Amino acid sequence: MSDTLRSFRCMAIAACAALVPAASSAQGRPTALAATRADVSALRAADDLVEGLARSRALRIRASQSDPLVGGRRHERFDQFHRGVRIVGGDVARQSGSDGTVSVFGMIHSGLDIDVDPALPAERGREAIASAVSGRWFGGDAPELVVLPLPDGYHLAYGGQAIAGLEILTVYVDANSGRLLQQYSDFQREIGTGKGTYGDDKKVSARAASGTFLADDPMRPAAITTYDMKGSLARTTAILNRVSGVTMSDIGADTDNVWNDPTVVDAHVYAGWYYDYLFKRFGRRGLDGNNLRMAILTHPVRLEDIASAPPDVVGLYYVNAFFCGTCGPDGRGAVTFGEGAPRNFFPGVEVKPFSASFDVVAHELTHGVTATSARLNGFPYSEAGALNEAFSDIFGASAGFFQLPAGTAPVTASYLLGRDLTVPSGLLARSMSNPASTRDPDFYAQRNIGGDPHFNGVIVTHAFYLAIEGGTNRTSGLSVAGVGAANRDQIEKAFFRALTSLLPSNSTFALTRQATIQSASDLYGAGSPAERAITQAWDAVGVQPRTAPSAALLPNPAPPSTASCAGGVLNPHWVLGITVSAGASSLQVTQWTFDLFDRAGALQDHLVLDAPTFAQFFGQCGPGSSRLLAQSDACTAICTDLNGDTSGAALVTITATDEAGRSVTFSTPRTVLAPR
Amino acid sequence: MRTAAAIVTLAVLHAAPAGAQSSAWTDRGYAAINGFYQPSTSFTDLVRPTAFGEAAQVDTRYGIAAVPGVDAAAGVRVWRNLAIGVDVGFLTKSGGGSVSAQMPHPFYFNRPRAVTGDASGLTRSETAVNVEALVMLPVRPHWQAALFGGPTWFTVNQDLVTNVTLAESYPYDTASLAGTTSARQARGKAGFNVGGDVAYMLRPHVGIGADVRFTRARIALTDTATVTAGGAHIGGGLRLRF
Repeated sequence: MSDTLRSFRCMAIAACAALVPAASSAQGRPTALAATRADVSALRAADDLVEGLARSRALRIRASQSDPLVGGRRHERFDQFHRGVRIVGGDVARQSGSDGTVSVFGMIHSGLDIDVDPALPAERGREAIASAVSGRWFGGDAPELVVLPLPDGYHLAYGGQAIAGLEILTVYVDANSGRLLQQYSDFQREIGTGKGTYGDDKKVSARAASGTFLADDPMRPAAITTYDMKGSLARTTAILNRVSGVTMSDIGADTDNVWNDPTVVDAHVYAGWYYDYLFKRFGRRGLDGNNLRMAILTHPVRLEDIASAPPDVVGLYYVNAFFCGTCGPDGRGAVTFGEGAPRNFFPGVEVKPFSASFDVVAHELTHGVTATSARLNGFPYSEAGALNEAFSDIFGASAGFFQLPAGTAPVTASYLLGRDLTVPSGLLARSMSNPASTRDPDFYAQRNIGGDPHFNGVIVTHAFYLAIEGGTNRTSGLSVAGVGAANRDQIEKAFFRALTSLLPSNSTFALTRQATIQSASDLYGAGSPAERAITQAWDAVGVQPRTAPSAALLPNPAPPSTASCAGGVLNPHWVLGITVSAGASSLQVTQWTFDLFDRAGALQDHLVLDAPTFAQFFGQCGPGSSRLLAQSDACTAICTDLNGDTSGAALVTITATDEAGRSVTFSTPRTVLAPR
Repeated sequence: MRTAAAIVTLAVLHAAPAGAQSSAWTDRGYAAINGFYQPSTSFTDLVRPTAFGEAAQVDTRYGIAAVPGVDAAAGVRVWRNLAIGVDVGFLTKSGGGSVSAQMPHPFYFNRPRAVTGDASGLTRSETAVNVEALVMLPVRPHWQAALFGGPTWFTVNQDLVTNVTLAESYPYDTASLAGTTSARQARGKAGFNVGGDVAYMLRPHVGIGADVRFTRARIALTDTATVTAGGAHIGGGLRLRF
């Protein structure tokens, strides 16, 4: 067994946070709330729970607003506190009407017994945050003291932001020891390449000032300002990091109002189009519903410098676009569009500036909607990160269909998100209609937890596509009767309302299923075609309410995870992405087995592994622990061979103890390792 | 767009001395002052001003209500019952028009917004100088009739709608007409006139009369607006013979 173990080569599936097991964990458990009028007693219980927690100040209201899509409805968002300290990811969204509560979605943590007096003073916490990422403090006066749920338990932590290299990071350190617990980038980025635009005519809403015209929209209710960084990376980072403020000279300008910079034109015009989409489709006034200004940064670098640019600069400011919710002139968010790459910087490919593709612009700006509503951030439950990207893809594409004719040519709408970023087209795209065509998953079991959220999010976007257009899921074979393109607004509204009014920050796919179905029922009635289509679509992509634990095994997972194995593994070999998901109960893994079968189906290896080994292997998207909180996942990537066989199969079985002390055993499907 | 521009008329006649039975006309000349009434007319114009970086389309239907005018005429007999004279007529009217426009969207190409409404204060004036050959027909004691015709020089001044101002707000998908802007166009062109006159002579040299005159010319005020000047009008007034 040990020889075989040595033949494994673990590799990170995702670049999610660096995590360190902490000694300050405390008992407790999260409980997902997903109650609607479909189960009146459950709804009443959830409502009573919320009321009780609110009375005791364990829930404190963060936002309350009327529903712009359903008259008479109101939405409240609560944050959960433990002894006066906010619990990260503990929040509830409650919908009410004139006749009482309609739905409650959220995640409540109970049974916590954690001391909230930190050993480190706030100033030390601030220093620890900066030093943990070898950066500098960027989060205001003091870090926030929080209770941080991680898969191995609860931690008292300081949270704040730091600038490290080119990025702004949200960082959590142990409030007693100062050790790094979690970090993630505030940059929600896309990967792409491109340069130039497609020569289409656009109208630029500009402001006249001092004999010139500025890309500063004076006609829409929200300020939309497009900045031209003129290729100065230093200036770009200074503005993003709020080291210096913006001046009028930073704003894109043209002397005669006949604009000749297509990058600025695309960015500025598309931002306005996106504002219009939100307003006309959903009645929403801007990113936050209150006309939050939009800051758009273009030309962060010079195209001609790409050959000499460091890889991280190429990856961030050339072939990328990103939204940062804390960046920009006033720290309230900014979108930066990469400059693209000239033809043959990547062989045979030209990458357009990232503002050239309307769905990409809308995708980035949707991150701004999410940041001011559900606050899905991929932490501490990675499905929320995938949902964040999925909603951005969904409303990126939907904005395209709202503003442009459908088609395959540039500057038309399609379900191939990011199609226009490259020439030839579609090389960096994600297909919502046929995920396999872009090597993305179309079924929940194919997800790669802890992996690229853009990859995992396609499962959700495919469900959205099926709910509109209908069709058959290629993996499950289940068919969906879509509402039809003419009624796409119904599905868009159901998803948008779920995002902006119903979902909590740590939503899972399963919770999103329930929220979107509830939303469709609220909008169009129980049993309506929209509700039925959404339900069928989630069924088709394999997303069900998560109650029981499950495990998934995906051979050859997402492209970032398919790098060659390290030495010592025979050829051919396979990279296996394995995900273990807790259901309604937290789990303590006691044993796991790894079975390999040869191509004839005979058992080739049967490895019986213990809890510490589980913690060792399943640390790729968590701190590495044999304990899984309810509703959370643990994952790993394992590189294995079949002793020279060219095909075979693999199976992983987990044995664990649940909160009631019962032993539970569950397995991945026996998964074929395709011939190599 | 046809216009009836009426203009004047004048007719002329000189009264035969009371009791004259002959068909010969012996006066040296004639003069007349008339008031007249020219029927309503209308015309349309289509202009394409630029708005929000795109061509708009402003279609205006101008209505010129029936309008009174004045004219004066004088002439001399040159041979037997034949006289040569000049008649000058003038009318002016402040009218309106109905506007139907397709105005570009400020943010999007090819998404025009339909705007309708009325324009007011659009002034129309016409001056007609009719050169006429006149044949006098004394038909009964105190009564004279005349036929006339000849070339006419028209000068038309017309206020034309050149653009519209909108009442609009975000998201600008609809708009309403807040007002119009206009410009005055003046053009001249030759036409013709024909008509007849009947006079009753109260005194040997003074009478009253009525006439019918038809004048016409098609005048292009702009590339898109062509009006019809003149038209059929009827009038009446003082008749003098000398």
